[in-house]
Amino acid sequence: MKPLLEVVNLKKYFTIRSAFFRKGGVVKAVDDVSFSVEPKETFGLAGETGCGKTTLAKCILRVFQPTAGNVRLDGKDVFSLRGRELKGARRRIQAIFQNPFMSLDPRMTVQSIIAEPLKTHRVLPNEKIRGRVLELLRTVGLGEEHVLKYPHELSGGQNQRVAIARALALKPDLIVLDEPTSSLDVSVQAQILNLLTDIQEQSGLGYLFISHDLSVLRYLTDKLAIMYLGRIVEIGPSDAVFNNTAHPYTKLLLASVPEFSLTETALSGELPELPERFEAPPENGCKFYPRCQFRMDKCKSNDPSLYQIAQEHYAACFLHENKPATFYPKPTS
Amino acid sequence: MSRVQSYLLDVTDLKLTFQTVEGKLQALDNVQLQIARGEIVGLVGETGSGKSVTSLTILRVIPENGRIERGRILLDGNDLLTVNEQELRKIRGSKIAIVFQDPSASLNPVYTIREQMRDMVTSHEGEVAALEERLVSLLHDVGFVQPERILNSYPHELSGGMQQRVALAIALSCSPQLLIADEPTTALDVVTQAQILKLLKQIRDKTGASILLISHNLGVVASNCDRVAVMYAGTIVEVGPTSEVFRNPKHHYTKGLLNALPRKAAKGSKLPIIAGSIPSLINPPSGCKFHPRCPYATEVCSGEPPKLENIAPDRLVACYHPAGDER
Amino acid sequence: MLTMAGVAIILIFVFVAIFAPYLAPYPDEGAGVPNPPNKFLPPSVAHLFGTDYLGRDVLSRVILGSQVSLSVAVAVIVLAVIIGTPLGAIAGYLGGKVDEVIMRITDVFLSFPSLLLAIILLATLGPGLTNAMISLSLTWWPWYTRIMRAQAVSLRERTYVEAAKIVGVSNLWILLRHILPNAITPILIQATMDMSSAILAEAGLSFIGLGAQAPTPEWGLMISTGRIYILNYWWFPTFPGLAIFAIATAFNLFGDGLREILDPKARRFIEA
Repeated sequence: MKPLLEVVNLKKYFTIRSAFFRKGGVVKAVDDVSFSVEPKETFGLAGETGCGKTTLAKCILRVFQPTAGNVRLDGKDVFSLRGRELKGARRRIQAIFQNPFMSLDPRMTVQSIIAEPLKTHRVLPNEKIRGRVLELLRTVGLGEEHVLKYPHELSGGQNQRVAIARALALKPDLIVLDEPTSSLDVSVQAQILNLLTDIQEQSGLGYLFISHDLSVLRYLTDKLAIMYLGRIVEIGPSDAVFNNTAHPYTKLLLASVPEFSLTETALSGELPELPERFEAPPENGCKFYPRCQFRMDKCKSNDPSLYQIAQEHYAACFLHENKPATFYPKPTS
Repeated sequence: MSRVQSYLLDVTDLKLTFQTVEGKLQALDNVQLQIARGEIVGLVGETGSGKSVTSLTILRVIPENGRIERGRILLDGNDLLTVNEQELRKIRGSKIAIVFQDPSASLNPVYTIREQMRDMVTSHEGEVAALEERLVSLLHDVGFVQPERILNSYPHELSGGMQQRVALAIALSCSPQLLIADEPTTALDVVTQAQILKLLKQIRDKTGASILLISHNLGVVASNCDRVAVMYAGTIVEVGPTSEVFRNPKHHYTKGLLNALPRKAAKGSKLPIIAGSIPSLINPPSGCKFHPRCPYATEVCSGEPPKLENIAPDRLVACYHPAGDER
Repeated sequence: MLTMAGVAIILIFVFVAIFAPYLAPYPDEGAGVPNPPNKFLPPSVAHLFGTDYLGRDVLSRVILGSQVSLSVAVAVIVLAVIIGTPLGAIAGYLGGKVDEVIMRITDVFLSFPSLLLAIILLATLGPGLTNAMISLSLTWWPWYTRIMRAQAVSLRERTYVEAAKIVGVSNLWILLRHILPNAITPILIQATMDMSSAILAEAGLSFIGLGAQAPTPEWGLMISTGRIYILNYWWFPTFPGLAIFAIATAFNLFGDGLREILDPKARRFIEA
């Protein structure tokens, strides 16, 4: 089965112009990332602030133009499309953002917000649009009474439902969700997660689910990639990543999650000393070297590739160097 | 409840309302909270639960349209609600200190850390001998290995976690008896969060200060607090030792909340949800505020609000039909 | 509630301006027909504001003058907004070269003292009320461009704008549907405050003879022709002056109040 989404050697670098008190330089927000998402799959992307997951998402959504690499939808390179074709391609990938209040225009009613994609792509004649909007509202658990409301008149959870309805309007194949429940209460989060599961069952779309919340990721995702400073450091079926953790950074993350969230027994792993100032990662070495408790000398001057731990499970760490190094994913020529 | 001889903080029957354009908002209703010396108590709740408002009310930092209608806030025997403004200013910062969610908002960007810490100390104690040593030692206490460097820095030169540690150091500079930490790690990454929470425990162990840890994250509270109080719509619904409350919740809201967490759910299964939504605080439900959403509610639940009462030593629940023992 | 006082005064003036010909006790004189035998009559029951050097009833002149002042001021502001706002929106939203070009042009206009620029333009176009209106608009639009550009720059980063781009919405749609409506508040407030400045500027131009020409009833012109008589026949320049003062202050109060009403509400959206 052809993957739905393929990200191949994606790079996004930002140049900072040097100014009076600021050195110039290059920020490698996304530094050679490759992975693929199958149809109907939920692919998780985890990492802390600054790891590049949001930038990666924006490159996939074509909000940013990548510095190098490809994003392929059903085998076709999305970035080479222009104008009308690009607009058409947009219908297939939609997005849901973290802050529901910010992702909806405060001056538009729920009706206009959901109708906007339909009108933009002239999917339906005007008379039919209202009906479709109501249908979408019902799908996300809202009703006719919400149609003329403004975002500030609704709660966070309701706004996120409107955002989901908007994302579904064009019947996309893939939805990128960037921390969709992080600003919601626990009880509301449960409702939204259930809704997302339902929608996926009904329409068979794929999710790229970005989050820093490991318990949500463990519950929801089929495959998981862990990012650190612009790179994927571990990737594989989420069960494998959680139960057979290979990369020291992943281990650190799991050890840091309040025990309660994942299991009810304390997870092993001592937390390293509180940082004063991070040593900058070595030029040619592993990016995680300064914080790694398993580091070896060779890590300082060599950058590990993704080594295969098990079926479809890879980690970029010299601890697993004896395993065969493979390019992940296999390029579809 | 095994009543400790005297609590450090004893809040009883606290009622706080806000006058708004749409009516009177019942922010806090019959809030009861006890914190013993050297104890870490967690305050957990969702939006509108009143957890942050509680901490501000304890410090009497309330916006103009707010009114404390009833209640007693005893700090070491003194009722903070009857104390005058001057006394209050002495208490804030020195007896009770608070750390907020966003450290960059509590640190002044145009002053060095040294200047800010010094201001804090001198404003409470006047000129102090050996100030520099004191500042260095405070920074050591929050885990800095090179305090000099930190003292010379400006806030923006420090990472979020480091800023929060500085905020902690400032909060601790006058050796408070009670430290209120209001979502202290919510803005921080998971790893930094874990380190800061560990630090809070160390602070308690070293100084004997009590800590009120407020968070919407049940995991944070579960792994760091001795006792936990669960808040819903402005009232405390359940209190008890943390592990017990989370393993064996008695209030149906607490149960619902714990069940809604994805931590135990199998992939592909649906998360159990709590029906309905958080009520408006301007027209709150009568009786037990949770009754419209509670599968076990009966008529009595909509009448008199249930009182927060012992159902076991050290366990309080405000419910007419608390959950039985299940595992 | 000074704002309410401001609104009340504005409403009175607008009412007067609309119904001026019916309200003025001596409409012909108001329009300019002289009545020499009546010259320099002090304020009395028959002539509440007295008469001017041509015997015309000053009250009527002031009332009809309100039509002139208000309509010119409104026209100036509207034109300035129509020219300046789209330019600013395009510059701020698109950025890059377009932004540079537009802003440099704006800067050129802004580097001239605006009244001086208006005078130069008027000297080229020739004096007259319409020309005064045009030249004032031409000196005023850059301020709106600046405001709108700043708004567009901050709004283009908003998540809902990003969301719209992902949906595939065109730039024009984003500008019209998402940027402009959300940026309108500061423009509105500025326009209200500018009303008083526009009235003053227009009166000023007329005062120096470049704006309205005799016999048009225009407050600035009335002050100008009347100033030599201020010691003997004080009513003649004073009442038009008071009218300018009243309406300008009223707009200022209204603008301040508007800011209070609109901004906190806008802030509430963001803090939610």
